Parts: sequence; C-alpha cells; structure tokens
Amino acid sequence: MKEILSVVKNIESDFKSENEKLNSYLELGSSYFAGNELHKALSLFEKAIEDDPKNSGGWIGKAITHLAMTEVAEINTINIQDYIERSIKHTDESIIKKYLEAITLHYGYQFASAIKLYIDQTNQALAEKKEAQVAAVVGLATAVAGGAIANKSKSFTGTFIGYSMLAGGAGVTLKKGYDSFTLDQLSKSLYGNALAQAIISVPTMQSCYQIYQNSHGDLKENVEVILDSWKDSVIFLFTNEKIIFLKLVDELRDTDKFLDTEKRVAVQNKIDEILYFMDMIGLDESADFEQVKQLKIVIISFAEDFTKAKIEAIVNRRKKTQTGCGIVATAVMMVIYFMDNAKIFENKSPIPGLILIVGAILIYRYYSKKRKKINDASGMSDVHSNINQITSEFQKISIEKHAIDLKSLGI
Amino acid sequence: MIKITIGLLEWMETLSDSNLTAANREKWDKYFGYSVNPKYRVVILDDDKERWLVVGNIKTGKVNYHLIEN
Repeated sequence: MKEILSVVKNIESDFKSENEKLNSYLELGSSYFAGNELHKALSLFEKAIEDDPKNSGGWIGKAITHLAMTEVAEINTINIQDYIERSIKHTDESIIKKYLEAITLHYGYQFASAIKLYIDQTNQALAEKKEAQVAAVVGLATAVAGGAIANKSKSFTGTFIGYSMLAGGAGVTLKKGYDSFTLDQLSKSLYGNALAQAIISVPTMQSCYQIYQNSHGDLKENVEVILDSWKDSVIFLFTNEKIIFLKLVDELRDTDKFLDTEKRVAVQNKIDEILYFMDMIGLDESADFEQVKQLKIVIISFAEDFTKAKIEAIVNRRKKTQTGCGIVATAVMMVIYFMDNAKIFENKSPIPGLILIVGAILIYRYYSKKRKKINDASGMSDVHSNINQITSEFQKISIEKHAIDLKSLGI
Repeated sequence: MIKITIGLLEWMETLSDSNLTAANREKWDKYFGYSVNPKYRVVILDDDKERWLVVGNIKTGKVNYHLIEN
C-alpha cells in the first residue's frame, strides 16, 4: 500500500516554479522518496521549504514523507496538519486534492493495520496467558486514543476530501458520549487498544469511503481492500465485545449479583461501551442496537424503581431464608450424627444417608420456593425475565460485512 | 563518453536561483554545457555513489534528472 503515497513523484511537475534550485530540490526529493530513502527525501523537501516557503511542493512533500516514515503503531502520534495547512494556503484546490486523497488513504490503511496489530498483540498475550502482557497491551488504549485526540484537537475547517480526518476527527467522534462511557474505560477492556483505534479511525474511514465512491480501477480496488480490512477488524471486535458483555449479563441472572451495585454498574458501563461502538460503526439504526438499549433501560429503571431501602429489604429477606435453611440443615445433620453415635441404626445401615439426602432435597426445594416467592413479591422475577428475553435476542446478533453501512458511520 | 561528476551539495549550490553569484553562474554554465553535450555524462554523486544523470534541455535552459539504478 506504500504506492498510495507514490503521488509524490508528481511534486516537481505539479509545483514547478521559475526557481530551478527549488525544482531540483523537489525532483531529487521525490527521487529519494521513490528509492525509499526517506530521511534524505525529507531533508531535500525541507531545503525546498527553506528556499521558498510559499511553494506548496516542499510542504506537501514533507507531510507525505513524515507519514511514510511513521510506523503503524505510531500513527496517532504524527502531526502533519501544519504542513498540510501551509501547502493548501499557496496552491490551487485541484492540484492539492490528489495529495490529500493519498494522505487520507494512507491514514486509512495505517489505521486498519494498527487495529489488526493491536488485535494480534492481545490475541498473542491471551494465548500465552501472560497476564502482565495482556494488562500492558490493554492499558495502552487511552494512550492510543489520547495521542490521536491531542493531534486533532485544533479547530480546523477544510472543505477538501480527505480533510475531515484532519479536521479534529476524533474530537468530533467524542462529542456525544454515552453517560458512563469514557476513553479511560477502554483501557480496562480486553482489546481496548484496538477498540480505541477503531473508534478514532471512523472519520478517516468516512473519507476513504467518499474516495471509494468517486474512484475507479486500481484506486477503487485499493480503497476497497482498506475498507474491507477495517470492517473485518470491526466485526472481530464486536464479536469479542458481545462475548464479554454476555458473560457479564449472565452473572446478573444471579439475584445476589444483580443486587450488587458494583456488578450492575459494570454491566451498565459495558452497555454504554457497546452502544457507543455500535453507533460509531453505523449500527445505530439496527434492531440489535435497540435490544442493547432496552437492556440498559431495564437496568436503569431497576435503579429507579428499587430504592436502596427496598434492595436492602430484599437482601435481608434472602439472607434470613438462607440462614434459616442453613440452621435446619445443620440441625438435621446433628440429629443424624447423635443418632448414629447412640447406635440407633444398625451397622452400615443406609438409613442415615437416605435421611441426609431426602433432607437436603427438601431443604433445597423449600429454599428455592422461598427465594422465588421473595423474587415474585419484590418484582425481581420480572426483571430477570426481561433480562433473559433481551439477552437471548442479543445472543442472536451477528454482524455481516455488508451490514456495516459506511455512509452512516460516526455519531 | 566522458563522465563529469559532482557532489549533491555542490550541485545544489551551483543551481541558478534569484541569488545567483557570478561564480555560480560560471559553474552552472559549465555543467549545463556538459549536460547538453552528447560527448559528456554529468553525474551527481550522493554519498560517493552515482545517483542521478543530469540531462540538459537547450531549448528551456533547464535540466532533468534520471535516477541511476544500482
């Protein structure tokens, strides 16, 4: 995909001036670029800028060379906005457009590669069961996203294709958050790095899609590869999010865990993360999105309907039942023990064992009935049935590539 | 064919621009003359390696560069 940036070879002819020295800098810089001697290319483009700062060729050459020199994992740390602004200032839109397109596509390719890289790193760390490594990989998420946001925080208005991602792209995506969703949250997520990267790459993918729609031939095929690779990663991440989410929700089927505020908040945070992610990747109009929202409503309305006192009362009643059943079970065991000691049963008689089993069954049945009664009376049963219904629907969700509508990406 | 070589930095200093000195003008004329003459090959050296062949255009008075592959 490095050939995307080979547009640099036209710099000398596109930005030709009367100044032969400048023309030579641009041409020799392009020549170094073509030979992959990027440091030398950069130094010649910088000399071109020194020679004539009003010629756009040097600036655009410097921007593209910087981009080409940047490793995938460092794509968020590069800041070439200033060079692009300067190159736009002194040239015609029609000339600069193809360079901006190339920059956008290269960004798109690097973003798609970065997401894959982070997924691979996390997969590898998980496979090797190196917890510290997993934590380190996951913990980088905020840095990944933070780097991008810091770079794109300047207010900037451009009208060119490919400009949107430089126009505070990540800032735009974070304008409308979902209550508890923050980037810090991603640092606690498995695949958090990749998730952060997927989210901040959305504006670039929108621009790539615009280019895709207006292109033909090889260029169209190249852009399609970028978009497909991005979609694959997004589907992988969504599937992972879904598995983790379902595990968390599954825990809520246990009333004790549901009554635990911390557990509920963890699920609510995960729901916000999933909703945000789905919204960003253009699934906000889908029925699946509505399912997740419904689940969030159930959890929120639980917090509204069930006051702290009410929850405490339920917890106490459940504890009382548990304690009562525990006492009865202990009593039964003690009676059998004393009867056995008093030699009431014959040697090797099956009766004590049978009494123990029957007793345990009866106590467990009583305990379950009592617990159900408490759940029915308090409204917990309705909450559980709602959760069960929604999660069984959510389990069926699987995203196909064609379902990701690139036109409705972003919030 | 006679090969004339010149280092990249020296070549850059020689190129004509708005601040052209008399000494540079003389040098430029000399190399430009070689570059349009089929008897000569003007080659730019970079890190002591032959990198570009300079081909002058007598009509425009300008030069083009051809990368010398290994």
